[in-house]
Amino acid sequence: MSPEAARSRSRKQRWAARRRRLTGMSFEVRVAALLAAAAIATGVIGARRDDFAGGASGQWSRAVRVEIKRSLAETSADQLVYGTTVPNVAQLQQATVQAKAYLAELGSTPELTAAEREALGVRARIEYTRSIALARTIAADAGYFGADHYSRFALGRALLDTRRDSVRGLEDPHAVQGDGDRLSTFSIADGLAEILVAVVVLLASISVARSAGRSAVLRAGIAVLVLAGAVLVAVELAR
Amino acid sequence: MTEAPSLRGPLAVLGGVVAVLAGLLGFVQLDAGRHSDRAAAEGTRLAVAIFRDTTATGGELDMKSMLLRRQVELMTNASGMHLLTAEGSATGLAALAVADEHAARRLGRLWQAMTGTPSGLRGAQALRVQQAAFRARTNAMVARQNALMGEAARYGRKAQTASRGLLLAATAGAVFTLAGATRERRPAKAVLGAGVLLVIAAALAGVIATVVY
Repeated sequence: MSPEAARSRSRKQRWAARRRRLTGMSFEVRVAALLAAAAIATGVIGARRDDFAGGASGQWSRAVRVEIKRSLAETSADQLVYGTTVPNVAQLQQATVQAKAYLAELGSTPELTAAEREALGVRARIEYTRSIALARTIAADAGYFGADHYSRFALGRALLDTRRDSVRGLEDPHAVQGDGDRLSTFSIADGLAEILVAVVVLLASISVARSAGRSAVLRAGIAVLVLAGAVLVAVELAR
Repeated sequence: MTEAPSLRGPLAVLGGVVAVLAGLLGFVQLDAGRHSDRAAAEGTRLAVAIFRDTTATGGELDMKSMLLRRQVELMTNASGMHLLTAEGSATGLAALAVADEHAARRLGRLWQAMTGTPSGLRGAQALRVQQAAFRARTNAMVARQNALMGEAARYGRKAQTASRGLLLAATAGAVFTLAGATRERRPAKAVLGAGVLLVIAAALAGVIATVVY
């Protein structure tokens, strides 16, 4: 026999001896080993479950804080547009439209008296001067006016832009809450794995109480423990 | 003579039952706790959203009614002046009144395009409709918020009951250990009976937590 074949045979013999020792392990020792494994699994799964549950709760609380921040920012944006921008825009539009109306009246009605022409001219000048001064105060919003010189104002666009600017850099509370929901689902999966581990303990206890078929019950316990481990691994991979 | 070994089998099975019961109660507590936390957080978020919606809609309605008032004021003044100076005026007010009427009409159209609210009485009516819709929306949001807070409280009670069940199950486990350690058969059986009662109470707590709340 070659030295290589002898080494291989020796390895096989050692493996067979180990297997015999294992199968010859007393029933109580196997139950104890299974319970010890179940205890370790409970510790690991319980810790992960609590991590996920705590993380989910934390994310939901954070979603509330983010919502408050966003609401404050959006409310101040709305107040700026409705309370400051629009009144200024309305004044500017009124001054511009009135000035145009006076000039139009002046140009389109030849039978006006001198006093009427004088009054229209003066008022047109006053309103134009006012509109120029007002236009300076809302120079930042000039982009929202139409081409027809400070008449049409895109309020919806101004509101959207101001709101968008005000919440820039802030998270979306729905997304934060979604993260919490995801973590919560993981914690539930780990909770189910923990129930499986408890079933392992029950099967181990039944195997201790029974005399017939106890090895089969113990094997079922091992299978359930493997299933619980698989759930734990699946949850960790899904993260 | 010690007869404790005869109780070994039932004790082992009861220990396993307690483990499964504790696992189930722990799951019920976890599930109820997460529902409670989520509903409370969502309810608080909704309260913030109600405040935000109220403030925004209030500002919008104020702005629209301000524009409406301003347009109506200009139109009324101009029309009044036009009527008073129908025969012409030495100060030129008649021409100004006519021009102001044109300006008021033009502003009405401009502001209608800007806010979506028509001028005059139709505008006031539209604002009333918008206000009524806002009230209905707020009422719906408040009702939803109340429901969420009620749900949070209900799931909180569920989690609390499951937690009490867990405590009972833990006590039952300790009582079974005591029964196992008791060497005399009769006292051991009595202790075992007490443990079984505790297990039944724990299971009942689980059923209440799952079904009643």
